[in-house]
Amino acid sequence: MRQKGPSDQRPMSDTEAADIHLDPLSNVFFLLGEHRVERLRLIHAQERERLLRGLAACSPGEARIVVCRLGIARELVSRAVFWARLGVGLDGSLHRFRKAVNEIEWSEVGSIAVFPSFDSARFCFPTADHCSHHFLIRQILFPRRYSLTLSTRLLLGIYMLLLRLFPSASFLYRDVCLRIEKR
Amino acid sequence: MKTFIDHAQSILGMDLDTSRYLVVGNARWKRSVFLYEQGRAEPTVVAKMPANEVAQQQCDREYSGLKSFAKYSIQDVIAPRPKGEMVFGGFKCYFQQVIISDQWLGRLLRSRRRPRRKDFLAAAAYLTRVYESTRFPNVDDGRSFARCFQHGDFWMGNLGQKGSSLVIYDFEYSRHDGLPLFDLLQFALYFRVALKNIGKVGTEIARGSYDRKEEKREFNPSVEDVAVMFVEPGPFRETVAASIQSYCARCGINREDSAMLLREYIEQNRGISGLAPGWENKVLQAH
Repeated sequence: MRQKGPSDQRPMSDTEAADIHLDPLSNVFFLLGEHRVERLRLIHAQERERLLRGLAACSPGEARIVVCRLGIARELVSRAVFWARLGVGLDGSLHRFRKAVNEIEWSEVGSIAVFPSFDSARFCFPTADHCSHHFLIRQILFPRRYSLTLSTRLLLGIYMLLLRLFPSASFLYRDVCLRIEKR
Repeated sequence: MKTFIDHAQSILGMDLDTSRYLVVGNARWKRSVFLYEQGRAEPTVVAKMPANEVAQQQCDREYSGLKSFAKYSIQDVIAPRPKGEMVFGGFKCYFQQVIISDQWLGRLLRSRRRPRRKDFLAAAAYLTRVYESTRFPNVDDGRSFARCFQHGDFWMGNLGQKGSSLVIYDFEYSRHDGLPLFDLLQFALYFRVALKNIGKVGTEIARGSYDRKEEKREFNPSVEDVAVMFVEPGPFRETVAASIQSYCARCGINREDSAMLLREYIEQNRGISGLAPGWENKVLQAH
């Protein structure tokens, strides 16, 4: 909330500031560097194949930021299947994609999870940083849930519960940005 | 990011974990970057990083306010400690302590129909301690109060509870020579503003398709808010009146001066649309 303090003149209106907030790439570029962005729905096999073919054709030294949209339900199911069969957990389709990228001689040099999504990346942290994931949900988003509708608050509550049950719940990430470089 | 954390380590004299951090905000305006010391489960320091001149001024003011407040010792009222500053990317960024607390914002959902009297009385009690510990030695000419520390943005979103202590955040609008009672009045008015924003944002925000041009939330008070909190008979006005009375009694502010402060506060909010001259009299009559 702003417009506070006696006789303070706001330097920028909320509308003007909102235009700046519409830039989804600013945090991603800050953390991973400015490189060409490729967007990918991981559950879409044809998109994956097209992207991998394109990456294989690049020259050594090139870098890309691949925005991977995960499917939470599919990630949950694939983990459940692997647990049932092998008794271990995997990262599902993101893990398989990373493996496929490595096979065409690209190295992953950074990966961040973005919240709420890539289209409005207001919160970012390394994908393996579960401490920040917890801190973001418990200390920053959950206390501010009052402005959410009831259904969205319930969704957030379910998210918190899943996070308590699965502390390393990277399968909950909606969008993950990978910076990869051709070896 | 590793370069930033490495520089921060040398400024702070801390052993920071370069693999953990949380970035909040917008890289073209202002970001907060939460950093972890090695082996700690929660972040211990946050860097406020401006990305343009206006944001730089905001960060400058906030850090200055933090440093001023750090000089006081107030029972059960604490704030993050300033930790240092650093130039990065052409701008000066500031480090401050992270204090994990139960945020007062979480209480709003329990206050929709009736404000929780104990929250208002607690705010009054904490602000009494701020007044007692920060007031100037001498009262204003002919008055029963002295100038004191004024936070300037004292609303539920900037308050947390850590045990018996109130944690205050965001000192951008603070001043050491402010007026008593103002922060409590600000708390009351923006309580009402926050209440109006309950349930305004849906799942579009999770999908990232929330359009700020279609913003449904309101961030500035209206004349209706002034009326509900200060004028119209009802649980809201009664709660506000009780908290004002409690604060003024404890701070030794007499009726005449409390009326003057209330009038001054309303006049300073003249920018509220529809708040024509004469409203301060309505507020005074109600109290």
